[in-house]
Amino acid sequence: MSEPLNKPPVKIDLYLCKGCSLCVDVCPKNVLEMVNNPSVWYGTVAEVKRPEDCIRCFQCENACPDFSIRVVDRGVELIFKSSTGEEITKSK
Amino acid sequence: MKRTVVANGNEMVVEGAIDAGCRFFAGYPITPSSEIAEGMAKRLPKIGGVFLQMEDEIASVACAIGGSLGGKKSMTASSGPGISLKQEGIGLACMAEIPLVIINVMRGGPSTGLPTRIAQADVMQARWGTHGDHPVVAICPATVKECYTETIRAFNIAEELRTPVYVLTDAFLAHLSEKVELPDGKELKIVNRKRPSVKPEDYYPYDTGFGDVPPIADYFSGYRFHVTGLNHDKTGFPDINPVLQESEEERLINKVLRRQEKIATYENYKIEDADIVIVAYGSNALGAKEAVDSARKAGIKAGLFRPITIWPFPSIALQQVAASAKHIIVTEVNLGQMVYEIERIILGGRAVTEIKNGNLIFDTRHPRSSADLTTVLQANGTPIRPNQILSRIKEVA
Amino acid sequence: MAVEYEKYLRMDKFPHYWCPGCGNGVVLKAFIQAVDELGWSNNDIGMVTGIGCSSRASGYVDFNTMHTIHGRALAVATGIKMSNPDKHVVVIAGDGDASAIGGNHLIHACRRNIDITLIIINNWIYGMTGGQYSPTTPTGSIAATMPYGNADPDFDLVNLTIGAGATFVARSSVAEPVMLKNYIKKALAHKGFSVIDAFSNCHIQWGRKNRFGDPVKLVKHIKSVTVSSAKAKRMNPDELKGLFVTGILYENNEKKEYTESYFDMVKRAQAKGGK
Repeated sequence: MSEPLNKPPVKIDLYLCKGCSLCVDVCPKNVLEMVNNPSVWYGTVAEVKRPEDCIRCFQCENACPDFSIRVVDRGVELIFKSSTGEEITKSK
Repeated sequence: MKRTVVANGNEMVVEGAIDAGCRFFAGYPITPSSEIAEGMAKRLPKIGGVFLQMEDEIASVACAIGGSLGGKKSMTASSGPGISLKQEGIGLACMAEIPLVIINVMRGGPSTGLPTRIAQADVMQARWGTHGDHPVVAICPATVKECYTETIRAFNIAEELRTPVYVLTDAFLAHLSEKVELPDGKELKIVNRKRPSVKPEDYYPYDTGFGDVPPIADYFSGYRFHVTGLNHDKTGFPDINPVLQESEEERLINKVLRRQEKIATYENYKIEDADIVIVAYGSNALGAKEAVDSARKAGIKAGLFRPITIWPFPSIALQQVAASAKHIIVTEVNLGQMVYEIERIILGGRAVTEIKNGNLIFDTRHPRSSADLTTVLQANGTPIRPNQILSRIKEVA
Repeated sequence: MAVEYEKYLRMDKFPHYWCPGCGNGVVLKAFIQAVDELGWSNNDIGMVTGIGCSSRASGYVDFNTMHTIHGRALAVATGIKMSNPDKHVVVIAGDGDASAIGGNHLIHACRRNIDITLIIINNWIYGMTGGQYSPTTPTGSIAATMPYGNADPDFDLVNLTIGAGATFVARSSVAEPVMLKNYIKKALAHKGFSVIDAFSNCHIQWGRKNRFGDPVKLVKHIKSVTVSSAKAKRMNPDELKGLFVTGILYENNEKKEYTESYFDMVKRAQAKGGK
């Protein structure tokens, strides 16, 4: 995955995510989902499914106990692929 | 410059602490040690130190530990019941390797006991009080002057070894007034804790790369580190690895054991040709000395072995003395505590010098003693009189 | 506002050992966000904790940290603060650590009004040891040592600390992390003894015994039993029954702070002259 396309509004660090689903619950825009992941011992992690809907409200980051989900500040440029594969650029 | 003062044991503990560089005291009122707190309350503010009377005994030892981590030479003082309460805190200082001096002005016990009366019944508590395998250093001054000099030595040992050190006086010595000649401050040997010289990012609070006593940084000095009462590794973080923890636990014990020849001081009084050896410590040794003098006048070859440091006990020195004695009289103001250690030392013929991989390493150079052993014990709140010891000497002579 | 958490955390110790979904991480995060907003330097902050899940927080922050014995964090923190009065000292403790075994140290730290901030992570249980009840376990709920329903009444930590003399007392919860961060920030900046009663979710110990074993459900429950002070003013006592009021519930900038009072005394002593 080339660097320029990897500035989404919200990212999850899989090393830290413990699959508690608090972020999924607080997100007002349904951006996140829990997915099964057999490579982690608790079997499930959160995933950013619809980054194009993210309004960078920071609710998920504030609710995450594990410092795993991180949101980019509003006003900072974004370049990422949407859930439909479209390339999305947000200048701020 | 040299000074001559008239003072009592408690006052000399205060004087010794101040001259040793103590600038932090946290305590709680308890007879017969309250005057130490009062003395520190008067002196410390004047010299920029901190005195705190905390809400209870446990808060006192915890607060003193905080003061020590904050970079100050730190002390707390109490008596039997308070020392019982402080045990968990003392254990924390042992495990986290925090320099601390604890004064125990021993009084009659157990429980509320005899608050204003002499006893020497906390000597085993000093050794075993806090749970777990822990290093112990405990010093027993016998004179008012020793309350001064031995408190300074206690601070030196605490700072050098990064461990709590007990000074055990008693209710009698605390209030015994004597003329004391204090040395010139410049003559005093003061030891300060070793602080790190490496860069903060290379500092580990339990780094044994610098010797078996790791350098300790002050909080807020640019070195950020973690300290815990859990078993830990060199970074200060909790660790349960059996191999590392065996070596760390042994290192704590060996910190003291390997230095016992230097730390375990004692006094031999008229011992060279003594057939009858009295073993006494603390203020009880004053009466024992008198008994020895009277016995000598009566033609009996008596002598006194006085441990000044009782933990670690000067085992080898005692074995050397006991080897040529015919009779040993152990006298202490309790119903028998140190006598068990003494019996083990002289009859066993071994002294522990170190622990290595689960093995106690013994020094067996000195022979077992074939001396008889009797005791002059008392726990009624009054001092043992020289006559009591003298009559026993005459009995066995 | 994005915060560079790595600046304040010992990332080599992560992932932290708290259960998935445990509110302790949320409180820690709110605290770090507050420190970041205040612009404090790592070297100037001391964190002292006791024993318990909440108290493991000190291992994870890159400050001058000490993990002491159960209930005694405030006493150690007092020693650290008094030997370095111009530094910031923070204590994080659990409800049992702070108000049961540490109760005496709690009331006296409040009384002294020493400039330390105490964040009580109040999850209504002794979590680390397996779910025994604490002085804040809700009456009637099940705990390991109250298997037939808690018979004890519980502490209102806000009333307790105000009564004992604290000069900044606020309550919040992990259900409102932004407000929690705001109150912590004010508490840290406050000169005097400040207390945050931060409700947190222990869904594993308290939750599982009381049908709230899911972190999302328990956080929602915490939200339902808390009400902001603004809203509470418009409610009558019957409506407020069983609810906990959140917000800054007490603030007093008049009472003298302890290090100031103590070092004034030192000045008096030194002016007196003599030894």
